[in-house]
Amino acid sequence: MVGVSGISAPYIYICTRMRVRKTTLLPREEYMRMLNMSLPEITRFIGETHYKQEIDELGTTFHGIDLIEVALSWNLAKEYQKILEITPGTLKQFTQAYLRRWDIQNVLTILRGKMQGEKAGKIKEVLIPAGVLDRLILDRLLAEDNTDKIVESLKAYRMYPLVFAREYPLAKESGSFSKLENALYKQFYAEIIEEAGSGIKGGNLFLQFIRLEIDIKNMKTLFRLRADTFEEDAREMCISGGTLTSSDFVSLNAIKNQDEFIDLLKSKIWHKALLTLLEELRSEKTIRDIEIRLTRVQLDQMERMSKRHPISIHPILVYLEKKKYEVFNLRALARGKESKLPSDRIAEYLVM
Amino acid sequence: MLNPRQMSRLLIAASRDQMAPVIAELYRHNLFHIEDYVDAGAEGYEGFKIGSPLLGASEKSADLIKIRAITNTIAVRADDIDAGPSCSRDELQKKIERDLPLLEREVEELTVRRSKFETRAKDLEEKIAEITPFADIPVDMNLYHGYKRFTTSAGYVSREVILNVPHEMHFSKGKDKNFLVVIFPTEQKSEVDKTLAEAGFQPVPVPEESGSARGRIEFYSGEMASVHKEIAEINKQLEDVKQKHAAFLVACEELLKAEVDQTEAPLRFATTNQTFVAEGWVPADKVTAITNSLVYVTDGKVFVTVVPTDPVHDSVPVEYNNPDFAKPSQVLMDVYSRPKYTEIDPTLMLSIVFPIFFGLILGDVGYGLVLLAMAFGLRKFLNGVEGRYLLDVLRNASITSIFFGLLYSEFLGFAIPGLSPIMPSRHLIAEHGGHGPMIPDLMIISIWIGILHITLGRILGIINHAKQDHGEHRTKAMLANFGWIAVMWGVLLVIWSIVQMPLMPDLTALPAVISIINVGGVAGLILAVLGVLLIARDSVLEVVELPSIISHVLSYARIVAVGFSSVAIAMVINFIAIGMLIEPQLENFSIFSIVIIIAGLVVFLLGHALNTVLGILGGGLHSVRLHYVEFFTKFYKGGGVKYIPFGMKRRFTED
Amino acid sequence: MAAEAVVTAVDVGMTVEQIAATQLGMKAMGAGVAVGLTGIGAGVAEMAIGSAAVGATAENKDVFGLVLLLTVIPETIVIFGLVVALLLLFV
Repeated sequence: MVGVSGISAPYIYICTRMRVRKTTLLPREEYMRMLNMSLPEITRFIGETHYKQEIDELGTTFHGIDLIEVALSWNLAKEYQKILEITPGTLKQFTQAYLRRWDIQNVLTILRGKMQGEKAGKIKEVLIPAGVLDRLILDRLLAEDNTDKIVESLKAYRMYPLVFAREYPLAKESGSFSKLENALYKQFYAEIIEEAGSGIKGGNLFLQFIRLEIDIKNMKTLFRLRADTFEEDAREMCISGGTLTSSDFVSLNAIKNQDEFIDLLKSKIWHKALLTLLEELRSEKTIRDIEIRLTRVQLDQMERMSKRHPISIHPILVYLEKKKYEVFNLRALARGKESKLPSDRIAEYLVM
Repeated sequence: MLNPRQMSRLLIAASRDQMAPVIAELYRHNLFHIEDYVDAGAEGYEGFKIGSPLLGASEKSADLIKIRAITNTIAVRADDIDAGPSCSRDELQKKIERDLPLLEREVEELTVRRSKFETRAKDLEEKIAEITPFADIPVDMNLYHGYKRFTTSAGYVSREVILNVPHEMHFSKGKDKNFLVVIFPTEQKSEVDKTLAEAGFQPVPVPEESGSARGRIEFYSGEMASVHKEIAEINKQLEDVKQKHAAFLVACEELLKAEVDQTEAPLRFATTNQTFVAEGWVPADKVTAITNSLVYVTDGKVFVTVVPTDPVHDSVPVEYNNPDFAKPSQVLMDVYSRPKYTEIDPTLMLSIVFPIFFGLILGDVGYGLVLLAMAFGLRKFLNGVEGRYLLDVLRNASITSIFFGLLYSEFLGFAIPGLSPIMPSRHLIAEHGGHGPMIPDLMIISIWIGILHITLGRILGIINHAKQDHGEHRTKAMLANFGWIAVMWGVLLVIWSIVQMPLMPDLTALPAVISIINVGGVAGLILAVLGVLLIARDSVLEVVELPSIISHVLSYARIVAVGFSSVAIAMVINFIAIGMLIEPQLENFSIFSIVIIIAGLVVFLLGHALNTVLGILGGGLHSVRLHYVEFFTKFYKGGGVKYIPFGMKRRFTED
Repeated sequence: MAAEAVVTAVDVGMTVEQIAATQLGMKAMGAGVAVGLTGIGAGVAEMAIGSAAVGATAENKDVFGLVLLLTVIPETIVIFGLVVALLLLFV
């Protein structure tokens, strides 16, 4: 059903819905208040917002920090699945592609957990079944005895079989999954870019969004590589498809002087907001601070894009991203409170 | 009446040790609308921080989480419970300490057991689902597995498959897909897979079972039944808990909620190490009472003062201040937007004009009576204040419908015998020897209504600008509103001086000036041009909006159009039911006629039921819309903050 | 105009009653077209608003009244159509 303007009713419906839903996310003032609360108060407080269902349902089985952690994961997964259900047509395809990252995260969590001999129940608490692999499949994976069998059964779910075939034996040998993780994300972005660029209507806008995300991610990696002392192969860390090519990435990584680094980076980037931010980052800052500032610019930029294209994939993705950071914030808040960190230390971890 | 309740801004400052009594007292009064303190370095608040909760907030929150979890598990809702004898605070406090942990453990145990059974049930379900496809194959399931050199594949295929490797195959034909189990040497797997894939093979897992498939299904079904029985048993126990403790739980929730609200109030205050400052709003007539009681509970160790306010820039909370009969219309106001503190509150006008519009549109004694019955009948099912208010609005509207129904002489679309319409007739067919529908008269009445309603809106616009604006802009804006009135009436004068119309003044007889323009026309033109100039002086862009005068006035024609369509539908229903079905049968009565007569009655009832619904929608929506779109846009902005006093209406507990 | 119509009609052999009937039929058709086309117009206009309205209400029930109103704004068009039809038929 295509209307006169070429925009169909279901698209308008879902985009309006997401924009309205975005306004229900917790505003900055509430975080400021929560910083002064104790853990049970925070739990109760979010139990009076849209986390009510989860907090009430899990309240009899979990307590303290576990309650809030599980409730947050469940809520995020439920939210994402529900959105996927009501999203129509190509928007659904894009959203699904976008949400696959959770599959990677979940699988890696399971693999790492199993490797370290964690109990299945404990691993299950931190899984966020928001991707294609739903709770049932994840349960099945959790029930396998060892990582080999998990990787074996993953073959049935189109989980980047080539990447696993190539990287898993190496990962198992070295005992670290970080290379596998890199490879998976690279494959993930490559597939998304391919899908978005395949000429589907609205794919261009999706591509814009993903490019921005890749740029920010690469920049974060660069800053982290600068902060880290040990050497890693920079080329492998770079995700291609964004503004920075992998040779840019390598040459940037080779520069030791902060000013030169920023200058070169600025010459490669054209986002206005990023340029201003980079100027501010000239003076040394902690890596955490830099990451949060980058995230904030990313969210602002996404917000701006979604205003420019009100009926597109953007409003949906912006909401998904913002919701994710709300959950991250609340989790950081809860963990900080649990380990008795002072409020202003916790505040540093929040993306507001 | 036309203004919201007068508010005063109160500033309360005291040392931190007075925080608890001050909060408790404010909570008890349930009048203080707290202005939340935001850490933004506001002027005069340097060095202040958001306060921290009082002692005990943490424990009480933890208790509250538990109670909410329990009430959620046993499905207790405060609305379903009648406010019984309320318990005192101390009593409840003791009970919470003594009973809550026990109750929590009990419910927790039950839910844990229940979820175990539920997982078991899910497992069984899955197993049954796994075995079901094999039910039609009469082979012991032992034979499917346990081989070293053979592989078993099972799944659905679109057609029969012929394999050219040694194998054992079981095939069962289904309605839309066929099921197949094949056992073959493992080394030939790739070949078999290829052949199967060509037949559209969709594999299913081979269950690790032994014995006949049907037997296993029966076995698992039996187990499932016993699991369900266990679950039912647990649900019954939970129901018992609910019966026994529901009242206690809702009372606890209320008590704890009140206490948490109070202990967390400092999060909304500005504090330093030694002192705290709370700002907020109270109704002006309550200032003395609150000040006195605060001074009393703190032994005078508190500083309370009324801060001068700037009503335009401060976000003063708005509480309606209407006579009782106008209160129900507040619902319709809130739907649009609450008035700003400085604005005229049009609730009163809405409460009078809305039913009149509704009556003019629906205007039928029969439908009016149905709606009146509904307005009283639904009272049982709607408990909330808002629901009640809506029903009151409906009641008022149905009374005016009956009134205008008498004036129109209409009853379910029929003319009321012996009563000729006092208003211009809306009957499609001439009755009482009168005319058919007097559309022109009705149109002009509705246009008159529009002209007057819009003029009133513009006058209110002048008043609002006079109240809200300052300096040069104020005069300009007021004059621009006057300009709109001038343009509208100027155009009317010109029209009256040219054409003669029923129910409108006739100015065509005035001495002519040039060709068809006479004195009245000239006066109208001057007025209109003056109006345009006044509008343009305030904002030139507004001039583009001039045609909206015509479209807004004409929009009131919907009063006739919608009303008339409702009459038409009613008449059509009557004609089909009575004229076409019932009457001819009554004339030549036979046994078969009964069926047709019943059919006629059904058409009659269904038709009128449908038309009643359409009547509510049409009459209600269009009347509301005329207010919101045509009336409010002339003067009303809305966007006021709702007045939410700090406190609660207790239902189950005492203070 | 009418006189001319009668003259032409008489030329093609129609009675005055036939002419009156044809005119009535034309009026009725005009009324039908007025309501029908404005109805389609209002429908098209309301489609987009309506889907946005339902979306907004699904997330926040408070806006129900407001979006309902936004949705019915284009239906002024069909009211005008109805007015024209009534005037055609009864004036």
